[in-house]
Amino acid sequence: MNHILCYAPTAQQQQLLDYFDAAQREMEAALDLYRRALAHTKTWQSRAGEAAAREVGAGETNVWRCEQRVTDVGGALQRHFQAEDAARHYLQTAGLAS
Amino acid sequence: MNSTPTRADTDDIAIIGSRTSMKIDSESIETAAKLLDRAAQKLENSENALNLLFRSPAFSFGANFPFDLPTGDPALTWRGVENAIEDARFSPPTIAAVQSKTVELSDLLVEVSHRYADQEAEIAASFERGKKLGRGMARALVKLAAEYAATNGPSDPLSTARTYFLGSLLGTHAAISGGDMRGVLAGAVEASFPMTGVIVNWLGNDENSTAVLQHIVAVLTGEEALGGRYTGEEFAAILYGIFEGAKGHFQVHSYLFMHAVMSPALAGGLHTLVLSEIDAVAQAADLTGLQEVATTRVATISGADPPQNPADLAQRVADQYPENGDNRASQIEVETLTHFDGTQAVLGFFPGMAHAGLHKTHPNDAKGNVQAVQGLETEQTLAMKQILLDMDVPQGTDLVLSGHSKGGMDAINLSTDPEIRAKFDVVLVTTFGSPTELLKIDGLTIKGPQERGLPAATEYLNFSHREDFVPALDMAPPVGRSNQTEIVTDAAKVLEVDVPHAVADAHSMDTYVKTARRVIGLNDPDLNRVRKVGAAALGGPGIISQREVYRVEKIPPDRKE
Repeated sequence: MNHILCYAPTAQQQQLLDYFDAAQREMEAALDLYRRALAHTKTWQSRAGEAAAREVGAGETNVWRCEQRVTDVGGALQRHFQAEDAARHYLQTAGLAS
Repeated sequence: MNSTPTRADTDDIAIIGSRTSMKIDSESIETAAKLLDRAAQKLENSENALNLLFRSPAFSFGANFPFDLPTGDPALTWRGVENAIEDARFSPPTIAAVQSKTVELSDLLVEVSHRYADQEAEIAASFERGKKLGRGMARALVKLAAEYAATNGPSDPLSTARTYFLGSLLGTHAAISGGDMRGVLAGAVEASFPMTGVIVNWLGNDENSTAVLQHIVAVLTGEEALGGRYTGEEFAAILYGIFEGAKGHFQVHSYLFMHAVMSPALAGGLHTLVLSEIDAVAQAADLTGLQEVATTRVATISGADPPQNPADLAQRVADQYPENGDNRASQIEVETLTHFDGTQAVLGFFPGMAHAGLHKTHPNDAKGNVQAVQGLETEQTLAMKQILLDMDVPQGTDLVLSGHSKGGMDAINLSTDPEIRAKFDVVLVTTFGSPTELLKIDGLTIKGPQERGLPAATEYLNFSHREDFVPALDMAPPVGRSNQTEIVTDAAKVLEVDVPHAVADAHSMDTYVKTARRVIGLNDPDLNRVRKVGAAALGGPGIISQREVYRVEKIPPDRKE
């Protein structure tokens, strides 16, 4: 996650980011493994092999969709942290927080 | 036979091509299965990480502010993050479902990768069962011979047993190929084994030797169809196994049995081995090397209708078995087609095995067969190669090779010859009743099937009947590839209805001609592709045909000048 904030992440934010990064990293690894499996299917010319290849292709599409949704989580987190930073800035400038 | 009614249905026809082959890249599929196993673990890890994120206490940060965050956009609140996580975890396809499906998919791939291997394993098991049967038969024959010697006076029991053993097998083959009464007599000896019960033993897979032997005899004599109990490959493996199993007991010269196994489907009654001759042929023989050949042009036919499709090619191959053929030499043919634009195509036709034993002059004998099934050059291919290389045609001229039985193996083997490929564009090879993979033979021991490497630029079309085990003598299930199409049918569909058919009928080239005519018009992607290649080389009516018929004879060493 490209975490560009006005403030360095708080310990709480960092923990959330670590969880998210793990979720995204593992999902991307799953997608990469699926794509490597999919590359093998080019030589599966038999009827059984072609059916299996279609299954792998469908699986790869589904993992890609999941990966997109995990990315969306990152976007939501990013936006929330920006909002928190804005709130923090507002509180500081209003003298309500140090 | 022409008036014989045939059933019009096509249920029995299996066209095994690039898309329909059971043969798969097992190694690749297993690698993919392992990748998916790892992917499933990664998906689970991702799901767990999202779960941790969702349940994190840190999620409350900002929720306790004494005022709303400076935005009205729900996406900028924790609710937005929660929604995104929920969407990731619970919207179809959910990560959990994809993870579960990935595990299933990995299992499926492993199953697929094993499917072909299972066939191969069953063939290997048949080979082992055959060995047990061979050992049992050998023991029984020794006993039988000893009893025979005790009853009939002194003789060599082992020799007698060997004679019975070989006689029964060779005799059965003779019986089915020529209806020779001496062969039938010898076959009766074989049939007597189960009756005496001396060789009943369990072979594994819930089969006993008696039942297996009865089935083998029934198939060889046409009382039962091949395919009901065993596939052709399993049947061939059992026969090879008998050979290997019995060898140790009798020290039988391997070559003799090896070609005996390969010979039973001989058409035309050319089999001449009988009981009285067995000892004469049971001698050491060299199954390697090539003899010189004498190739003589015996006929030239101009203006014939050129072949237009693989069924016509089948008829040309059948033409190489003339009714009053020379049993000392094979007949091969080279046909040159001249198209309207002046381009040419050359067609080569090979007949199959003619002598079960070794023959001094005929190239299609036991030695030629054993060599061809190993992918080696034979005297017949040598003759064809010389004719083709001597032809005055432009480099890159289309070449089509066709053959029956051993001749089909010759055609495939010649199609891979570097010199032939340097001169010709080998566009199509058509075989009928031929093993298309190779058999690995180490010395005189059958090791098992060996995969061929075929050039991608050539189309291979192979016909086989389920009742004919000769195409299965490579012990490999039919394999389709992007340039190899296997057509597997029931010979019974083109033979007389309700009449038992011996293996010889199923292997006959005449039967294959009928089958080729029956299936060649079918609409199938692989068959269409082959037809297209063939049509480009063969062409239609009006093309000029020049047929050259040759007699091919091995020159015995003692006749060489």
